[in-house]
Amino acid sequence: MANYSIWVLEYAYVPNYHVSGIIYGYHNQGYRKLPYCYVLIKGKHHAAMVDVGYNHKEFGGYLGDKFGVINWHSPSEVLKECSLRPEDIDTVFVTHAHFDHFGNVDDFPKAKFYIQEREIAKWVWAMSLPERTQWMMVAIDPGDVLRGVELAKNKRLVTVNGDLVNVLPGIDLHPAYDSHTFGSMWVEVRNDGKSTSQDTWVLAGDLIYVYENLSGSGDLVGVEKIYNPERERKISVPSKVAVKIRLAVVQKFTAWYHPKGTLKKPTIALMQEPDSDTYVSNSGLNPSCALRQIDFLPSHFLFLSLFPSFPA
Amino acid sequence: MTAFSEMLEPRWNLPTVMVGETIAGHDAGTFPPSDCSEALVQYCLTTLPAFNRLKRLLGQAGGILLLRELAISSDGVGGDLLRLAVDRFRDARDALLSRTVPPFAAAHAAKLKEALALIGSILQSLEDNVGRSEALLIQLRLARKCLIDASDNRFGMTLLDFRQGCCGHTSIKHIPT
Repeated sequence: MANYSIWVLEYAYVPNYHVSGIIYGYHNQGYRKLPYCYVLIKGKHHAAMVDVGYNHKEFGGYLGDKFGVINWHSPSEVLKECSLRPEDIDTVFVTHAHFDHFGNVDDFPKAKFYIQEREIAKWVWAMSLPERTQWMMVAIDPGDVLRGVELAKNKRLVTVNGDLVNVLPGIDLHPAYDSHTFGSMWVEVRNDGKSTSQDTWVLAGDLIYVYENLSGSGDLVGVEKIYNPERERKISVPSKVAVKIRLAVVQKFTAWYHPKGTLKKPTIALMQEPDSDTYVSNSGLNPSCALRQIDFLPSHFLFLSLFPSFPA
Repeated sequence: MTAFSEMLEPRWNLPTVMVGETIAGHDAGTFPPSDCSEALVQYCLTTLPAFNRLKRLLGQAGGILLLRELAISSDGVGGDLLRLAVDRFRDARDALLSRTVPPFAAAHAAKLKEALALIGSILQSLEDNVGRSEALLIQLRLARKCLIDASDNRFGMTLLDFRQGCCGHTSIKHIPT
């Protein structure tokens, strides 16, 4: 029996985004939809989110005009589809401090936010580096730093140093240092609540964009597979993760399941029905970054590549 | 109204800049969208490095305050972050104050100087380990407001650099066909 229902919630998207921004080396391969998503983890006693989206008031116009981001919906509108309000959210796991993941904290007035300590400390350090290294500062909004101070002052920002088990019952946090960002974090939901779970869900943030990042062909870059887990297999893997991971839920997500059947509303993918042993959807999914990021993925993800036959 | 230079002198050697000060005839630091004159382009392109320095300083000062709130030590992060921020502040101050500003850009330059003074004051408080977080946060917000007022997307003067972000690529909608 599942303890949580897990929803990927699309709150905006870019209709046509170049595939090379999604899969390493895929230049001149056309365009795909690039969704902007966060994840809701809804349980009997907790309502948690993975990331909170961006601050539309400040950047919506610019993102729309310059980069074609459309169909933005507020957390109120989006969560209403799941019968919740932003103030019902008690916990937020911030996968990383980019503006489109950490920029909308003001809309969640009662939530406690979890982020890796290294993510914060290293950004502060990076800001002090010389001009020529400022590419490292992309997608970081100084305004979010100030909002972080406000959260910390109100004891609503919790920094995590490495792994944290059972941050909520059955939910673990794991770092992926020096990957997408200095202190990226991913979330593991053991949805049967067992320590050796048979029902594990991985919420990967921006560490994986699409399944092709893991199982796609590497022809275009001269390797057999885009992600080669051989190196990872040599790494000792804790026995607890030696289970079937059903699905990595990827936030840059092209949802195929929409309960309302309308394109104008936020697109929602229900990943698992509460109190049920059947899951509803699989991700078709979108983007990823560079091969380097994949190289740095935690060894857990190799199990995804061992189960490549996801429902289409 | 307090002149920050009074608080900051002699350590920071700043000119007198009043918080909230505006120049007659201008109430914001921005330029008309229709203005693409050579002089404006020249001014903005030469001002961009100073703007970027201030933006980073804002993040540094806010970040140091955040680390302090969270009781996170900067040991092992990459050195004395406050010292690094003060060094960057000096660079920014010297670059900004040594410039000759054309009259049409006086309001814009005043916004940048106001941000500089505020950030200098915050760093000084952090260095002296005085000032409540709340008060420092207010100053940080004021400094941020100055930079927002002085932003101009056309010349890359934005608080958030989208150029290489995950979303930061021009979509097909904007590519000529």
